[in-house]
Amino acid sequence: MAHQMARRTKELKRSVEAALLSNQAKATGNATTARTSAMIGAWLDTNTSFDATSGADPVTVGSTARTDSSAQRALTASLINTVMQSCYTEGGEPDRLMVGPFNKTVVSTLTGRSIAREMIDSNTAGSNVTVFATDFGDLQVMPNRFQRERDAFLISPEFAKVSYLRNFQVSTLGKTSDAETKHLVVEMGLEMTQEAAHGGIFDLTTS
Amino acid sequence: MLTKQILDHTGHVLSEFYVDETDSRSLQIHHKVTQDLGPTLKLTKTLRDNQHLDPFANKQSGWKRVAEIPRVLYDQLAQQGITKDKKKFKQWLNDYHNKPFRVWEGHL
Repeated sequence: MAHQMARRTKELKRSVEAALLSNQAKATGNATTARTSAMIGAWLDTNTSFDATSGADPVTVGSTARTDSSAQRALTASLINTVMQSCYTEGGEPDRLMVGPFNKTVVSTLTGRSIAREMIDSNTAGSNVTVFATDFGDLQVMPNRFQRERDAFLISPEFAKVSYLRNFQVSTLGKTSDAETKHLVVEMGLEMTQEAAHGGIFDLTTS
Repeated sequence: MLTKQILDHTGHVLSEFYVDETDSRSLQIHHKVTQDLGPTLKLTKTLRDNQHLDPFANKQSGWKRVAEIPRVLYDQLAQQGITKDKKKFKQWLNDYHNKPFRVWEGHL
């Protein structure tokens, strides 16, 4: 049982991370639908870059989901610089760039190093955190497979945190014959203390 | 009885679960994450040794690759609160002992 509980807790932690980095809108919920909290995609509005074909920021920040564009573009240093500059102007200093595994390999070859392009395979790029010195401060670039590959997030960690409505808790359900069943539950949301401290680059190519 | 289960094996990172059940009332669970550092060290050395071939390794590009930090080591630094503290993180990067992970070797 303890083994199973440990595994399920880990599974739930992964689900929590995937939810935090999703484009989930806020929903009040009712008797038949579970309530949901707005996640990072629904929060970012001030410092964003998206494909203008049909992409759009959330209509109501922290409430509605953003609109994905039908077209996608490649991640470039120029896109990252523009959004970093926008964050900087707003007073933020994002020092983490979170990207999907494919775009981590793109970032790893951004500086145009012919050597790097030859040397960096996706396994190495996906297993490392790359540190860059940029015009707007040092940037830690990390791959995250729980986020959508089409998004890249510039994050100021001090201006976002996870808030728990109900922290991880276990309750025992009724026994059926000799079988024991337990229930593991967590209810959380993304507490965005200042969305303008972060940035987002959206509608990126995914392969 | 000790049982092992591979949770995940992505890239050079291996995540394993060890369950040690000595008797029905005693159970120990360990989560072990290991990473092969060879490819990272090989990469950083090649990039360091060939900086003269890099047309973008200057201030004009606005981007300079400073280091490649293996994920397991980064997680350890995060647990120690080093990655959150810009001053401490710079100190760590400037530390001579961490030179193998550096690409651009200038002082930060």
